[in-house]
Amino acid sequence: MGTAAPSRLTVETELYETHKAEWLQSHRDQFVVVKGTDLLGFFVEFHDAYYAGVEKYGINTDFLVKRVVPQEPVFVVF
Amino acid sequence: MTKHYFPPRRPDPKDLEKFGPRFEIEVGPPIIRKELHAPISSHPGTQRFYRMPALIDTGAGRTVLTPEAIQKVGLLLVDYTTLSRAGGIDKVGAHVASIQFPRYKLATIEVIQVLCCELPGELFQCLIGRDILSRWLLTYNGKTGEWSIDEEDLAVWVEPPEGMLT
Repeated sequence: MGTAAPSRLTVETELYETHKAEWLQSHRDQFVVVKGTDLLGFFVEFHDAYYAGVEKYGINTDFLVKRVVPQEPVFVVF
Repeated sequence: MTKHYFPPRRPDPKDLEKFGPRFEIEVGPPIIRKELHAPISSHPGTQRFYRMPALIDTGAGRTVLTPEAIQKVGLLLVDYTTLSRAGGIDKVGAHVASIQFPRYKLATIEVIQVLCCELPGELFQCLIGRDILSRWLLTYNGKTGEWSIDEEDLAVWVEPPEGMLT
């Protein structure tokens, strides 16, 4: 996994999994922004979600920007 | 519409057949132009951009960077996702980057998600995937060894909506 050490975004990913079913009802296909246990909000476009995260948390720290979807996408590289 | 021809030197059909369409890119942290209310701790003058060879890969749904390249640039992590490739299926990091094309007047990509994955050999550190190709008209001429990219305008570009790029 390269630079993505398992410890990074662990809390955020767990929070996402905990609330995923609930968020699918209200914010399906939107991007959620989470830092630690702080839920910043939901956004229609990725870049709006990312900008909002930078505005709140700064540009030098990881935060989760994840699309709320029932099934995680699988990207293919041939 | 601007047409960019590759390679910059004399075309060689054998080289194109052997190595594929490669060119030089610069990868750096995302470029934030939007006026933000909170202070941003990273100053533009200190942002690191690294030049690296990239291969255009129509078989890649998403643009991919090697772990070494991501570490060198210091790209931050925003998600994990699943990547399927010849070696199997992996959970990989999704990082945010910007990509520039220093030798060409292609529009800078200011914000894009790139996936972290080992790539074979040392000939390239980036696979330009269909997320970026969706912006261009790519022409490959195996007979002459030339290839080209047509781009409609120079508008800045950010991450496209998801849904068609898997």
